[in-house]
Amino acid sequence: MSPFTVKHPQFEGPLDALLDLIERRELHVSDIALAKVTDDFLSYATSFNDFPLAESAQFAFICSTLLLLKSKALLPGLSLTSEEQGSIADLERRLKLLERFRALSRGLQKNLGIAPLYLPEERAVEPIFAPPSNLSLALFRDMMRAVLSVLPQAEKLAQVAMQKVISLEEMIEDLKERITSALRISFKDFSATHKAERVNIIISFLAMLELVKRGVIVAVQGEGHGDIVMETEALGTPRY
Amino acid sequence: MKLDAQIEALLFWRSEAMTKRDLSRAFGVNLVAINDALADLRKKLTERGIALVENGNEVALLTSPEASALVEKFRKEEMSAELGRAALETLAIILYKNGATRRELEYVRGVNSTAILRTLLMRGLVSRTADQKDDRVFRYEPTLELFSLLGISRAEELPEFAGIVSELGAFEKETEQITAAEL
Repeated sequence: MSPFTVKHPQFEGPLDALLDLIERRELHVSDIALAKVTDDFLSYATSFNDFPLAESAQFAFICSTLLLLKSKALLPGLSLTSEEQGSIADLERRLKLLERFRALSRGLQKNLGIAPLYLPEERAVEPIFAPPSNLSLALFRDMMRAVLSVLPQAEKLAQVAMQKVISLEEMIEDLKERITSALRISFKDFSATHKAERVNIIISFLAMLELVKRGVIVAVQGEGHGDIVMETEALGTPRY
Repeated sequence: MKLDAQIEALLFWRSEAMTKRDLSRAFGVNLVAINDALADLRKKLTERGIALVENGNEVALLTSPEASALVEKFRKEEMSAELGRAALETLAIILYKNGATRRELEYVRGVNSTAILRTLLMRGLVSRTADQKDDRVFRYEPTLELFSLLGISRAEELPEFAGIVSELGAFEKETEQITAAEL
C-alpha cells in the first residue's frame, strides 16, 4: 500500500508522516529536504482506501504546499506570491517545532522514573466507632434516591431518514443524452422533469455548467433572468 | 547524603517505629554509627513540628510534644464532625450494595472517593478487606456497628432495598454495555 513502512499501525497525521519521511533520510527540516520527500508524501497521501475525512483538508493543504515548494526547487525562476511564500514558511515552522518536540520527548523518556518522590506509607489506623449524630435509615434512603436521580441516561440519538437526491453524475448523463437526441433544449424544459425538489434544479444547473466547461454544449441566455437555451457543440449527423 | 538524612527519609516513609537493629542492618553500619546519626537528627529537629522519639529499642518520627494539643484538636474534630453530603452518598451506596470497591463507587458517583473512604474507615463506619476475586483490590463494607446503630441486622432491611438495588443494577449493566461497545 504505502511506499514505506509506517512506524505506527494506526493512521498518522500529515505532519507526523512528513517528519517521518524527512528523518528516515537523516535530513533536517529545510526547503531541500521537503522538496526531496514530496513525491513520497503524495503517494502516501493518495494510498488510503478509507481516508479519514477530518484529516483530508490538512493533507490536501500540505500536499499543495509541497508541490509549490518542489516547483520552486525545479524552476528557480518561478516567482511565488507572498501568500504562497507564507504557506511554505508556515509549514517549515510547524515541522521544525514538531522536530524539536520529538527530540525533547526522547530526552524526557530517558529521565522518566529515574528519581521519583514518595509519600509516606499509609499508617495503620485503629478505627474507633465515631459516627456523626444524624445517621438514620431515612437519611440513607433519601441519599440513594438522590444518587439515582442524577445518574446519566444513555442518549438516544434521533434518527432521520436521509432523503435521496439525484447525484450530479446522473444529472450530467441525463442532460447529455437528452441534448444529443434533441440538439437543442431549454433549461426550463430540462429542469422541469426534476422540479420535485428545489435542490434538483440546482443540480441541473451545475450539470449544465459542467457540460459547458467540457465543451459538450453551448449555453445562451437571451435576456437577463430569461430562459437559457442549450445546444450541442458536436455537429454530428442527427440520428432519427 | 549523610546518614542522619537517610534515616530521616526512611522513618518518614515507613510511618512507623523501627528498631535500631533494623536500621543498622538496612544501612550496613554498626550501632555506634546509628546512634551518632540519631543524635544528629534529634538535634536538627529541635523546634520543629516533628520530633525523633526513642525508647531503648525503637525510634520513630512523631509529632513534637509542643504540637500535641494541636493534633488532639484536629483528631477530635475529624472524629465528631458531621459527614458532608458526598460522604453520606458514598456511605449510602456502600450500604445498599452491601460493600463496594473504590472503582464501583466512582463509577456511580463520578468523582474520586479516596479522601472520603479514608474518613469512613477512620470513624469505624466501613471496613476494608481484600476482594475475593482479585486480592490487589479492596472492598469497603459497612461495619456491624453501623448496622447496629441503624437498627438493622442485614442490608436487605434497608428501606426500599429491592427497588433501589435493581435500579442501580440496571444502570451499571447499561454503562457496561456501552463501554464494551465503544472499545
